[in-house]
Amino acid sequence: MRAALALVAIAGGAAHAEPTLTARGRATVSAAAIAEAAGGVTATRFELERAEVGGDVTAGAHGVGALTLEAIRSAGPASAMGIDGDSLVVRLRHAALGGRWAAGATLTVTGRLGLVPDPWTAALVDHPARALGRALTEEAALIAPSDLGAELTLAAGAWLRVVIVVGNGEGARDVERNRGKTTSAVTRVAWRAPAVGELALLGYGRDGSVGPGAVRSHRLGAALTWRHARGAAGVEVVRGWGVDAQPDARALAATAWLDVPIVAAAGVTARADRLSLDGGDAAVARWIGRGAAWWALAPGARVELAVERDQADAAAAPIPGAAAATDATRVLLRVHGSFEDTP
Amino acid sequence: MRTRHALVLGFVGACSAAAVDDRPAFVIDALTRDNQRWLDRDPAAVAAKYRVMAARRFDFLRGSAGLYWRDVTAAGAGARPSPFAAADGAWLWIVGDPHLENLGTRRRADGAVYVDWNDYDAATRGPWWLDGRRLALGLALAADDAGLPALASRLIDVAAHAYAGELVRLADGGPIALERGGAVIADLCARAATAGDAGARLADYTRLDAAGRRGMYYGDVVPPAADGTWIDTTVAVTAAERPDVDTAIATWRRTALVPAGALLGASRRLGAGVASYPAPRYYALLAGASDRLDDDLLIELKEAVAPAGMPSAPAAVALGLAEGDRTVVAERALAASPDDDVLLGGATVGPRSYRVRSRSGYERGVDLDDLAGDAAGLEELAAVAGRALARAHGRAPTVDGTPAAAVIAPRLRGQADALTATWQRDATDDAARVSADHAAFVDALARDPLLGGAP
Repeated sequence: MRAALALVAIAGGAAHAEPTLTARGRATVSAAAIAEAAGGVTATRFELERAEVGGDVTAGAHGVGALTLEAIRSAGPASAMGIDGDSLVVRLRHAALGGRWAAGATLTVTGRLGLVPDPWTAALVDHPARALGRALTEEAALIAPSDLGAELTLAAGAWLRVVIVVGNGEGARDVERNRGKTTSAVTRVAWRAPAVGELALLGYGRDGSVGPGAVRSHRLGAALTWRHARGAAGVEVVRGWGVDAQPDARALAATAWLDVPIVAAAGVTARADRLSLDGGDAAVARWIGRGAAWWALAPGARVELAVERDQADAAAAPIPGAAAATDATRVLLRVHGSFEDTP
Repeated sequence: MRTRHALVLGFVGACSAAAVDDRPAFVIDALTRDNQRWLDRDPAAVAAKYRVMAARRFDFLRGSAGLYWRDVTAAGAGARPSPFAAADGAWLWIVGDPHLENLGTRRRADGAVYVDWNDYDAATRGPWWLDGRRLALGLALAADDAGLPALASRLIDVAAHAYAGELVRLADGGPIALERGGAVIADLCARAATAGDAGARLADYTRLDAAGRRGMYYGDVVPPAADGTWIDTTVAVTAAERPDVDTAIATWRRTALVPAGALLGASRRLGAGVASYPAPRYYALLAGASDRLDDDLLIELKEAVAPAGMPSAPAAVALGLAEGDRTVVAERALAASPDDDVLLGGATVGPRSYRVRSRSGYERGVDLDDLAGDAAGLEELAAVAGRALARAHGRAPTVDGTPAAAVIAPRLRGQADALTATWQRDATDDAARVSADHAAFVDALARDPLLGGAP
């Protein structure tokens, strides 16, 4: 809250110099009733999968800021032990301040410091199939959603965007724990035409290290996305070297998604994830398939009836030799809303 | 532009080249993560824990269970399918860290003193065959550390046959038997009975004042080592700690099986354990049922933390318990005689969770230093450990409530030799890896006593 007030105060201060202040607020909520069959039992539960609130501020000619808060469960997945028990707590997801300068009619340069978004996660976060769950790269801890660092964005109209982030590499959880900095870069090239909608090609690279052991944490990725009034689709592939403190582990995360309105306010969406992790002597791989029928409650808000299947490869299971032990089938009734407005 | 090309080439090179010290980096990072909460709170205690782990390879094993579980699951360095692996045995109650020094004496309500697992800090639901593999690893290291490396294979053979035989016996309806026989076990039980009858823990950790009232003792029960590592010392509970301790005791009273008397005093115990060396551990003196001084009760509150590195269970079978409660539920599920300690309970106060148990003198742990060069003694302990692990696995309930022996036994019937071969193969590789890790750990510790994890 103090950070939010500081953001407003700074933005307000800039507004004295330049009588322009624009703000854009955003809230995302995803909640589900889940029936899960796994480990030989079936259980039901309710989950708040995602709750985020935040906004961007542009103050004066150059000032920009962003703040996002998110709710997370404070306990680990097998435990009830967290902050005040297994409670939902609010934490910062992003908090950054900086400046923006225009060069010519289309080129803008933006620099920000703080808890800045991971550029890859941020570049794909708006895709409609994300309603089916967090990105595979985030879920598998391949990419932290934010990092303490500096961000530089170069944008040429809507067709080219380059984002470079230099940070600690430890995400939001830790301060810097080794001498190396982590550098991430994302390039997005988009092409728009009324007949085909928007096609975008994204490339991603990260050179980094985590933890006191300076475990390497390198990533390369690419994505192709399509967005149109008739639907949206995309594919994303990220390769990782060094995963979850295992320096010799190599990961491959691939996601494909499709979202198609059948009628004006209803449609179907599907997503397939493939995650493989090669530790040198052993490997883990699994498929996650998701499909849902949705009905639009309002622009940006949906109710979904979804089915998920999470299945490990027989020869590469998290518990070697017992692939089915971690398999799960879920049926979800989910509401998902993402609202954005400018007062 | 040239700089940019160099950066790109450098990045590609970094991605493709394997670091020469990958494994030590992994070990350092895993140990730092697993000790993070204590590094933040009490880095000196973590430094002392690391010194203890460096001094003896078996203590390194004791302090690095999280490393083992990371190694044998997912894409870990020791992950490989076991012929005994099966999905229906993946989420049974396991001890989590079954090694010889986690065996100790307990006293049943009828006064019988016997040996069983005495530490359920890492107990959770997981694959039973990997619990057995951890026991085999501990046996291999115990033989080596005892100066009897050639004995490792024999110890594993004895333990595997004892495990398989006991599990099948239980599945066939055999009763739960208590471990009281054998020279080593009988001696341990006799010493525990003598100490318990004499109220040894009360004598160690409390004193009578001039007015004849019992109060806590603050000082060295065993003096610290020359390097300052605590061995057995008690200090006063600080004013900052006191509200948590009082609240934890009040909360625990609702979970113990019997009511206990008024709180007469509390101290903080320093120097116990290896994995939990930095964990806050308190002793509390409670008034007994009568005005006599010899029936006062001593309980121990120890912070419980989530077992590190364990495979993630699907939400449908995840425990979802506070950590103190998890150890209590685990002990009642896994112990041969689960209600022996009527004061066993849990308490959670804010972000800390405690396991509470009685301290009387009847609890006495196995110390491998007592068995240096004693092949017969180690063999006896290996058999006891195998049977104790089988009893724990076999009597604990599955997710649907039936005893797990019915799930495990069909895989072991007639397969004791195959189990032995599997444990021996795995233990050989695991012990080599632990030995290398220990050497790298000692090397890293020489450069930084906190492995770079200082807050």
